[in-house]
Amino acid sequence: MPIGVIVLDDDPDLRDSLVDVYSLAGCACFAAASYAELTALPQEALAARLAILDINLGAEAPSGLDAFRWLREKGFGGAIVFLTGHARSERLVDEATRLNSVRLLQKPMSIQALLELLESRVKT
Amino acid sequence: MNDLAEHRALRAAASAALLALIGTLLDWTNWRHLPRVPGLFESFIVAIVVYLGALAVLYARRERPPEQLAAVLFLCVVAAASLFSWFGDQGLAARNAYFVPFENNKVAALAIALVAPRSLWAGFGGIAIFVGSALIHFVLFPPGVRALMAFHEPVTTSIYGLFAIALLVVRLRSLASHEELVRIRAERALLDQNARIFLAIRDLANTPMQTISLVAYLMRTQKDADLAQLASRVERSLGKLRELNDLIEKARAAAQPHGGGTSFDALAWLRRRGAP
Repeated sequence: MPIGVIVLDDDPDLRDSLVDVYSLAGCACFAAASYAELTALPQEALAARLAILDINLGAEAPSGLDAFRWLREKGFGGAIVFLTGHARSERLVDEATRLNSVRLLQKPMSIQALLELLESRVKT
Repeated sequence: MNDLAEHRALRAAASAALLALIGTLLDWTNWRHLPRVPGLFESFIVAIVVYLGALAVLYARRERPPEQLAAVLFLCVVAAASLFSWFGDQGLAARNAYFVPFENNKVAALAIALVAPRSLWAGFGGIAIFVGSALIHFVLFPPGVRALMAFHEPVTTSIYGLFAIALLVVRLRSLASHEELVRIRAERALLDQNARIFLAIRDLANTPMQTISLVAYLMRTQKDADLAQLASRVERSLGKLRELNDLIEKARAAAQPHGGGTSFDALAWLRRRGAP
């Protein structure tokens, strides 16, 4: 059974590219452009084992942190990784670094590092 | 010279002219009853004209008063007030009775220390005019008049002068420290602003860079030699962009966290600040 991966990013090109890369690796991807899209299909989202969340999802929009809280509230048991282009000094990013059981990765990440996230989920 | 210094000089000269105007009018209400002394009334008129003239010039140049002009006007006001005090002391001496001379000079020296413009020569010059004229006047008074004066003059006036100089030095140092603090804060604000601009630019570049690296990887997976060659070029260019990214990263330490719990838009943030 393929590993389910959530890709939450408001940038369509990056979102599609991440989906393509993980699909090539044999994953079943669930792509969402916003918090609303993610939470609209809870069954698909909660079935995944890895969630890659962008932190900033557009001006004044709910953030990746809100998505993280929603996933945890709904009992999501997979790994959660924040992938952000913003500096750690930004408030939301700083807040994300304080969360337990999540990883914070800075864009641009190497392909190898992105695929290793998947390998760690296969092992678990 | 800066706006802060110019406005301080304007305030100092205007305060001095207003204080001198009030003091001179109050003195005149008492001194006009003194025995007729040549020059007292004339010095009163000259002083009033100088004060009002200084105020008029300062008002006319209030938008951008040159610091030097304000300091010169300040000294003109001091000189006019000192002249009037000189003739006032002449009037007190003419009563042929015990009197306390140089009262105006003492008070004026302290007032100058408190309101003088930032220029050293204006503050020291003003104190020197009042204390110096008192000392010269003391020397010029006949021995009979000196015998009628309060004890310890001109020592008392000299002590007032020294105290005024000390007060002026402390005040000018405090002003200099304050201006330095204002300058440092302005520089810090500018650095913070620049750091945030660099960060916003870098943040905006990170997502497309990530996309390009993924697309280059996807091109390699197509098993096409030409595409693989193109992917190599793209990856080399990405490497150069990463080096630039590292340079911008150095500005990060100076940036302040932005507030708010929702997401933010780096591009909108840059546009609000007029960046292209």
